[in-house]
Parts: sequence; C-alpha cells; structure tokens
Amino acid sequence: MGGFFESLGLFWRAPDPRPKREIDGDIEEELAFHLAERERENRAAGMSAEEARADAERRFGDLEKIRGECRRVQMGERIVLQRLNFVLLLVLAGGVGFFAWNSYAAQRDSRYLIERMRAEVAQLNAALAERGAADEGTASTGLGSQVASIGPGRPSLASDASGLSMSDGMLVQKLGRVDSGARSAPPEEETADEMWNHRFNEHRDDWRHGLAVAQRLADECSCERAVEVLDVLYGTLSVPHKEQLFKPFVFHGGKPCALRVLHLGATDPEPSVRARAYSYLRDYAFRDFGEDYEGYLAWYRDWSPRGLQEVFYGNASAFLERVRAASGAELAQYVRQWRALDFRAAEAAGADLVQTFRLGGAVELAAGWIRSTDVETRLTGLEWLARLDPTEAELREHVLPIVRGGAEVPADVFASACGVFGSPERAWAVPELLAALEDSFELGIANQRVAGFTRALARARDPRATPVLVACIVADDTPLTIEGIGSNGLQELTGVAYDRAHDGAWWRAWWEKNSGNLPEPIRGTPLPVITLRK
Amino acid sequence: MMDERFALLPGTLELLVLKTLARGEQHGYAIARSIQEKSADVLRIEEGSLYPALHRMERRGWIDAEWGPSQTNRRAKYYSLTKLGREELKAQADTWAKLSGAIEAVLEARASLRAGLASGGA
Repeated sequence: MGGFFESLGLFWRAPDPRPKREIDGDIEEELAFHLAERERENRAAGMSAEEARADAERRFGDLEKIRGECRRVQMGERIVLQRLNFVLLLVLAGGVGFFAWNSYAAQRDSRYLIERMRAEVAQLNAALAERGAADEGTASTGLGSQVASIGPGRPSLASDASGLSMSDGMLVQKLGRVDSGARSAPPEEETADEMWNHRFNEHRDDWRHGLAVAQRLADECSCERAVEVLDVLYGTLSVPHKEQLFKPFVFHGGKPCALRVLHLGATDPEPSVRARAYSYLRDYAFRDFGEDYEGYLAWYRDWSPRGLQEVFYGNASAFLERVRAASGAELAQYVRQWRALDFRAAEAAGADLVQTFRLGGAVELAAGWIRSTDVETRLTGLEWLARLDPTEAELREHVLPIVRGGAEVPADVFASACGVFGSPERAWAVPELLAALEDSFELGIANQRVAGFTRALARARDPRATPVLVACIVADDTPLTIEGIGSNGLQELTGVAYDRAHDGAWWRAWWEKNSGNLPEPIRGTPLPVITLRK
Repeated sequence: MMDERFALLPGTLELLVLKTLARGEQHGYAIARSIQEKSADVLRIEEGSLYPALHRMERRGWIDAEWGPSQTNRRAKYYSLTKLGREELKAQADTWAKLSGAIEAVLEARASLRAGLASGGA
C-alpha cells in the first residue's frame, strides 16, 4: 500500500523541466563516470584493460535497464497517464478559474455600483444643503438635472434618478445616509512582500519549489528590490529554501547583489545554510573561510560595497600574491586549493579571470610548478597552464619537452602533459606528438606511452595520426600495443571497433584496402616504417 | 563454493545511502564503495541499482545533487543530504532499530523454547 502512495507521489510530482537530451546526457555521463572509476581502480589493482572493463560491467549490472530506470524517475513515470492527468487538471483549474473570476467580477461590479451610488447620494445631499430645504420645487428640478449629468455610464442609476419623484428624504432612506466627506476604503490587495512570502512559504519542505521561487525573485525583481524582499522574508524561510536561495543570484548572469544575498546565508544560525553560502563565497574570495567567522565579516565589510567584477579581479590578484609569497606546507595547501578553483561565478558576472591570472603572472607560476620535482605539484602546474589559455610558444616551452622526454618522466606527468594537446585547436602539435610516439618505440618506452599519445591524437581529430598509429601496430605486434592504440583512439579515428584480434597483419591489410578512401593528406599514402629498439 | 554475501532487503538501500551521505557529499561511485567497505563486502549490491535509487531520492527532496570535478578531474555528480533527508534518515534508522530488535527477540524466544524442550526430553 505504501508503495502505491509512493508511486502516486512521484506520479503527481512535476517531471524534470530540463530538455530530454540534457537529462539523458547527465544520466549517461554519471553512469560512464562510475564505470570508468571502477575500471581505473581495477587497472591499478593489476587487471588488464579488458578484465578491468569486464569486471566493472559485471558489478554494475544491466546498463540498459538502469539507464531506462533513471530516465523514468527523472522524467516522471507513466507519461501518457501524466499527460491525461495534466489535461484533467487544466480543465479543473480552468473551471475553478472561471468561477473565481465571475465571482470576483460580480463582487467588483456591485462594489463599484455601491460606491457610485454612495457618491451620488453624497452629491445630492450636498446640493440639497446648498439650496436650502425650503425651496423644495427648485431643489427637485436641480436634482434631476444634476443626477442626469453624472453621465450615461450607468443607465440604471440615471433612470432611477430621472424617475425621482420621491423626496430626497426617501432617497436617502433607500440608499442610506452617507457623509459627503466619506471616501471608500482601498480594495484589499496583497502587497508585493506578502505575495513573495506566500510564494516562498507555499511548500516549505520542497527545495525545488524554493529554488524556483528564488529564481523568479532574481529574474523578476531588480537587485535592490530582491534584497528588500529578502530583508523582510529571510527569517521566515525554511532551511531547504534558504539552501537554494543563492544559486540564482550567483549564476545566471551574476547578480550585482550576490554578495548581499550570500551574506544572509553566511550569517545564518543553521550550519548547513552557512556551509552552502561559504562554498559559494570561496569562488569570490579565493579563500576558504571555514569557521573563520570574524575573517569573513572583515572581508565582507571590505568588499561588499564594490562592484562584482572588482571583487573578482581584486581577490584573484590577492590570491595570486598569497600563492607567490607562500612556501612549504602553506604552498602545498595553496596548490591543492588552486585545483578546486571554480570560475563559473566570475564568468556569470563577466569577469575574465583567465586574463587576470595571466596578467598576474600565473603562467610563470604554473611553469615553475611544472619544473618541480614533486609529481602532485607538477600535475597542478600542467592543469593550470591548460586552464590559462596558453599560447603555442608557452606550450612548446613548458609542456612539449615533457611529451618528448624519456623514461625519466613519471607516467602521470606524461599523461597529463599529453592530454593538454588533445584538442583540434592544437593541431600544430600533432607532428610533434607523432614524432615523440615514434621515438618512444625507439627508446623502448612505448608500453607506457602509447595510450596517452593515442588518446591525445584521437581528441585532436587529425587524420595525419591514422597511418602512424597503424604503422605502430604493424611494427610492434604485441597485445599491449594492439590494445593501447586500438582501444584508446584508433577506433575513433577510423571507425573500426577495437578487437584484440586486429593485429599488425590485419591492420596492414585494412590499410591497403581502405587508404584510397581516406581524407587528404593521408589518402593513398604508404605506411611509415617505425623502428623498434634493437 | 557458497556465496557468503547477502542481497539487500527491499527499501534498505535508501537507508544505507542516507547514512553514507550523512558523513558529507559524495558521488555515486564513492557511495557504492563506501557501502561495500563498511559492510565488509557482506552486502551484495548491483552497483548500477544505486542510481535509480539516488535519482528517486533526489526527486523526493531527501538529497541534493550538483556537478563538480572529481579527484581524477573528470566531472562527477555529487550528492548531499538535505534537511528533509536528515529527518528521513532519523525516521528510517529508528524504524530499522525497532524492526531488527523485534526480529531478534522472536528468534531468541524460539531458541530458548527449543533448548527448553530439548532439556525436558532428555
């Protein structure tokens, strides 16, 4: 029975509003990440690539079925029924809306009528008072013309008034005596603050609802107005709603009042809300306030009056200075922190942090780290140089020597350096990578290198890589090379699915048969000859 | 050889996930590993079955999800517990404690009855 109500709950809940393609993409990426992680661990535990993959898939279960279940959960179950449900709801809502509107219109009309009649009576009383109760005949004539002059808008009143054979006393008795100075009270309307209060507190436990309302607040109101609303309402919000409040102000255009909204969270008594706010603040301040509340307050006092771009530029530069001045354990901590930096909030506010860091000398800093003897520091240096939009000259100077290096380059550092070139924008590096790949066979270190080279070449999507990769398998017909090249990129470059039976002879035959149909500049070219270490 | 691992009872996967996330945000793979490690590999979970459960819990508002870089620099979906999720964890843990206590009490009663019968018969 519980299960029935549970599925009824999911059934009634609105499906994920994102486009289907985006939902599918997210599911795909999440499941692929799981399989890749398991595979990576299996490899580290000593399994071959094939065993690692097979074990990961076995442990995972039926991928197709799980993908389908995830989609059903995300997009709402029983879509046909849900649509029917939606139509029924629409009809019901339409009916309710129609009756509500009719009732409101009737009430508004009658209120308007009463107000007008009261005003007219007041005018009549005033006119009577002016002319004096003694001159009844004159007053009566005057009354008729005056009432008629009220206008044709309300014929019922005009006819009522034109047929005023009754005395003004009777009229007053009919409509009730009204003070001529009395004004109607303003209609009872919800104020804007009350409206936002109502919207937020409608579903207090539903964080999605909180996020949606916060998004509307950020979209519909100016920053000043949004802060005014939050100043009034923040204390009444539920914790799930507070946790969702920040995102619309930090991203989606980077609202100028983002810091003021985050300040509400940073000073909240609830730890989960504070933690959420501090995690966003890290991307503005380039430091982790952790439980350093005083430090945060001092920072907020300094920076909140300034524009967001100034906040990003100022804090990024200060961070760079701190890194430059640090050494030992402190530097190691900055290196770790550096890896986690997120530019999305700055991008939303239009701040170009890549340029800020470049101008501040981050390229030289990263280059220094790349030259370090510590592997982790070298990896951070490579990662950072790649994020800093490096020029060809910078890559030739700092990264290419690693790719061209010998057995002394650690495997992780080599893989990371090679990855930097895995992009069609860096096609200039393809001949360099191919030469280094050939050298690795001559140096006898190809076993540790082919996978990294092949991945980078496949991502560069440059056809010049295909004959060299085929020639490597032809020259070194070992399972490691067949797999390292076949499964890491030759498949993407040629469209031929990896198969461990595709050895040197197989690939040579494939090349002879297909090379005439391949694109320029490799069409019909002979396979190069790869020299192995003697 | 007999497999010494046990399939999960229906509904308990969510409790295990909530408990795992109470220690901080984690991606799906880390959750799966954590459950297996903590149970000393006694619980048999088809790792993929974790994901529909995670998505369902996210839609119920028990957990919140956000994409972020993993340790291997690949994008991963990180899950964290919401306030609602913490309340749910408490409720489910209480129910589990009562249920397992009751089952244990019944099993012990049967065992002592059997022991009593055996000694009476001797």
